[in-house]
Amino acid sequence: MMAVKSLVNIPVFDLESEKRRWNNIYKVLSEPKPDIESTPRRAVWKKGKAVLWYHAAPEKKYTTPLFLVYSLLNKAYILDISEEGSVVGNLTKQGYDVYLLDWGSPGLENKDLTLDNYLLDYLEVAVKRALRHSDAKEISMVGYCIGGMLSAMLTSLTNLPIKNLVLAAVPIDYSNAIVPNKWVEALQNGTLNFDRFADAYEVIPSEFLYAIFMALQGFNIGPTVNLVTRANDQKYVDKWRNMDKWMKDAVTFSGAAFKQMMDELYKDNKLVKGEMKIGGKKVDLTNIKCSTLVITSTRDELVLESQSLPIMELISSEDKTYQHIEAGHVSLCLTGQFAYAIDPWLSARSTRLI
Amino acid sequence: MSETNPYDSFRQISIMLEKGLNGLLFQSINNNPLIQVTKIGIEANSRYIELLKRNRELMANYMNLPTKNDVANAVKQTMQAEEKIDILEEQIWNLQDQFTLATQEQNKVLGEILDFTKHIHMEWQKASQELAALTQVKSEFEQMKKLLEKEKKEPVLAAK
Repeated sequence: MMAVKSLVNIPVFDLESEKRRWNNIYKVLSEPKPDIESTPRRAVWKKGKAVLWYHAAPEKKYTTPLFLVYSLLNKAYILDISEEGSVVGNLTKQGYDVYLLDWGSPGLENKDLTLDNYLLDYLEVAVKRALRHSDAKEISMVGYCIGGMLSAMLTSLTNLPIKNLVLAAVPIDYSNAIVPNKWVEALQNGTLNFDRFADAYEVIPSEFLYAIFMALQGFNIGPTVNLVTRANDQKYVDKWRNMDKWMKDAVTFSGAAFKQMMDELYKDNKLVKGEMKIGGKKVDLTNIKCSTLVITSTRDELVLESQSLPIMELISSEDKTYQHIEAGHVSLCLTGQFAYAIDPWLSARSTRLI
Repeated sequence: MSETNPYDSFRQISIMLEKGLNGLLFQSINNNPLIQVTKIGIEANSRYIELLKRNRELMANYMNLPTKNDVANAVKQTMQAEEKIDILEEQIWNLQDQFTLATQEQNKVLGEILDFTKHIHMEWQKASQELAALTQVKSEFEQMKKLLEKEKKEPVLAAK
């Protein structure tokens, strides 16, 4: 209805604005990708390719720091894409000290890294380091996508003092996915098996992961159309270029972890059944007793709402909240909206600085 | 977006087109023959990569050249060293914590000793004050004794 209404409108072209628009589009096409300026940060700990970043709040309001965990399949700098309007930027402005674990892009030497290693040798150690560095008694975990899944798994396994758990766009149940149902069935019954593929490549090339993301999005003309439509707005163009850089800046993935994810999660759906083992111990999500917030977004093009929802039933937390917000999988992070979505819940559950 | 953006209609048509095309794509790829083709493709690609890797290793071996695998193995050693340093650092933390605890305990004991010493000091002061008082009493007694002795002597003098 709206489209029809707009179609009837006679477009008014402003020469100056059009000049700016096409000039910007030319620049986007011809110039190199922009440098991403992060919020002020300091590396607290490094291991292999992973780095634990510390973003201090300009005016600290809470003694409970936040520990952000992003997906293993994308680069973490989407959370800190600019000083203005990024998730990390907004959270620090709200008075939280933020720790961000950047997994890095594994090289051939990391080909044997499994989810067990990522959880016990990286994530758990990093949380310990953050606790030590902040001198805090408790910490809030904030996990996004696969990072959310890892955060939930760690919370159920560890003795570390995790006060709050925030999970956004988190895939827990793999009985369904955002691919056609025959492909889901093929993955589940073993017709499509990536074991040999992962062994042959050892480290899954970033081009392969990029191709998967592109394939999942189908005819993804939306971003280009948005750019043409709003290219006369310099601020939008800058943001668009940052996002474009991130989208095309794919990561590699360790072959062992890829195999584990395909077999134990996509094929056997072990996590939700309580059969997944990490470091020889069963991951029992019912062990999660801390305050938990689960967020899903309405236009998520990568993780279905039905993949996140089962966690609400599985955890034993008495204080658990579910939010379904108006955003997309990437835009939730890109716009920094995520920080505003979690702040009211989190501020009520974080210890205030006296 | 502003009301007057001349590209609004273009955007809205594109969104509709994208949605339609994606729906069509979603339905059209949902078929078993395509899955079979993908499966064969994955197998063939994996076999090709395996062959390539084997030949690459063979060639590098004949030419006595290090491969990326050798570099990766060397890096693994560094990572092991890094892990060991991390473990050592954690042990130092534990030691630090234990030292802090021990120092706190020591401070507590020292505080108690200090309190005790203060208490003794006070007692000592009290005792010395009492002693001073007693000394005064004693001297007064002696003066009284002397006076008494004087008084005793006087009648003798009078008798002379």
